[in-house]
Amino acid sequence: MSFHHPSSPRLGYPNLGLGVGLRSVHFEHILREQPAVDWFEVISENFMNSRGRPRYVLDQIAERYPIVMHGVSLSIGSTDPLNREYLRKLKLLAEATRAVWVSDHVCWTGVAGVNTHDLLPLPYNEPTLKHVVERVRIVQDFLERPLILENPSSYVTFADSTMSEWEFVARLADETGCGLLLDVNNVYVSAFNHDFDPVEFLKGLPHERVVQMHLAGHADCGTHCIDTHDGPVIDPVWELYRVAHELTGGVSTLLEWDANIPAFPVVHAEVLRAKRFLDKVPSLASPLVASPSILRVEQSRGPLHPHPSHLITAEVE
Amino acid sequence: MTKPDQNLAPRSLDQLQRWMQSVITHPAGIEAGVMSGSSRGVIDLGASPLDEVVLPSQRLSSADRLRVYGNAYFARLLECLRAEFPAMVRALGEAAFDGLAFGYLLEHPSQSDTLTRLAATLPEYLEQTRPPREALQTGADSIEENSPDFADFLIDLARLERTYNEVFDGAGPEAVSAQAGGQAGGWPYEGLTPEQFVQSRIVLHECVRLVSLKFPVHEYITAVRRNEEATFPDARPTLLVVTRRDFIVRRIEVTPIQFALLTALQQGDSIGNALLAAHAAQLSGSADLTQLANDVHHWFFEWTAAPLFQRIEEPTA
Repeated sequence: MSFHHPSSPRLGYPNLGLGVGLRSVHFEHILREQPAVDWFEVISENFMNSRGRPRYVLDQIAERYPIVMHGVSLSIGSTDPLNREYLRKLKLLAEATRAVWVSDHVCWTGVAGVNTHDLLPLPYNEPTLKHVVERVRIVQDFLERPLILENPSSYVTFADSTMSEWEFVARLADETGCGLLLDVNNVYVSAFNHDFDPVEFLKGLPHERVVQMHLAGHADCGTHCIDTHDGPVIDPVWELYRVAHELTGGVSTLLEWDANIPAFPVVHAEVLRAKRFLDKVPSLASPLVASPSILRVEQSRGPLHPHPSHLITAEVE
Repeated sequence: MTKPDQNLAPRSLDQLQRWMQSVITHPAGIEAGVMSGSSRGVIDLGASPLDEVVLPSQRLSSADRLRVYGNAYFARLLECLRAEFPAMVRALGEAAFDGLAFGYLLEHPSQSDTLTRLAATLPEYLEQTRPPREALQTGADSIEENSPDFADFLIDLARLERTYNEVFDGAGPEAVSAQAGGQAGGWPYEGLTPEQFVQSRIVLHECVRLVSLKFPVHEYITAVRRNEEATFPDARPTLLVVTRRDFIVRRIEVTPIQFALLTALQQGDSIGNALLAAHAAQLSGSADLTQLANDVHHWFFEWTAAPLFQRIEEPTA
């Protein structure tokens, strides 16, 4: 089965510009002000089951803005069977919102019927790759579109891994034709946690397959970083973004902010900070960041837990 | 030279996932999780270090790294439950609520792709695990249950807060009302003879919930949601209709006769039979049928506008 343009940049998908993750606290502002945002990314599970206000708001927003769907429960790496009902709902929502693409994570979220609602890491080895490749192909056939997969933040590595995360992701993309959602904050967090060079990660990816990038804030706990999505993007992550922008030639970029969420204009202004890199002509001759000096401790916070944690609560009169 | 432990390598992906999930979801923490029967049944480390499965980083041990996931598992789900049940949190205090919710999560781990279903069985769990009421000796041979207690109050809170969320995100009347041309406030029974009227059935909107409570917890919940002082109410039998209009959840307190009438209509009784059921539910022995007929006319106007009624189905010839 052929999808789009596998050899074209971004698989042939458009560069949508600078987008913001749609969160329920901003519903009223977006509907009322119709801010000049290039596009919105929505958490698929918040809307695919909804027959209430969340879905109504999404339908309104989808009439005015390009929508991209981002899932947290596909569990593409789990050894549980793929959930066909989940895939059916995912496809229906994608069709209804005219989602430009559908993404999820290179991870598993649970096994034996349980959903931990976390993005759990995989051992990167040949049997795992074979398993995930088969499942990505099934999902792509079902959805009739390429799946776009994101590198998650992770906090453990396995003795059973025989290859790097970026080699695993690159081979997965090569063997399935899937696209990549490059989360540069996750690269930073995982590099800090696993003592690898984030720039080596970026350079090891098939750049023409990167369809989208994510930016977010995280918490630095000194001994490790946690992907909390609760603050602005720190400078070293912006520096990684600059490098990734040069390597990919520029792709759709989105800011995630999921805890301690400020007013919409603050969130929007944060992603617009990426413009300083976009206005420059990409040049691979530019000096890359000298890492691991890029990995520096900038902030300290209390005990926090990583996202995803997405729940929209009731509005009651 | 030590012989490699045949139990440790090679491990399948399924083994690794079942082991990790068992470890990070153990209520007593990572170390207890590693030593638990459920994880040792998959990968038994025996005297081998945890490093045999999960690698340490330069700054953290293998156990510390796994602990990030272990802490996050419960923290994330407790955060969601706190968000869905703010009045229960206020009534119990955060620590006691967390303890109760923790017990619930142990018995009911999420098996859904969405966090909105995480608490689907919390009210039933509370009913099953509530402390026994103190028996009240009322005579030589008779024992009656005491009046509703604090556990009943908490169960009522859980039921109503859960109902609010289900009504908020479930199917609502908005699309149906729009199709009806916005005439939800009119009298839809014009042209029916009295005989046709009593033989007709009224279909309630799917979102309408009839809730019978021991305490007026709706007032307590409203105070909490408005961030006002909320005082524990005295027990009072309370009958509520919960519905939705313009995507916002609304609740209406009704009388026993109204509740009986709506219950019968929701169960599919004809209007005539529903009126008989309502009449039978009237507590006063001196029921005035003429007054009841006048009341019903008024109520049907209100309930059509609410909107509780979706359509009327006339009897087939």
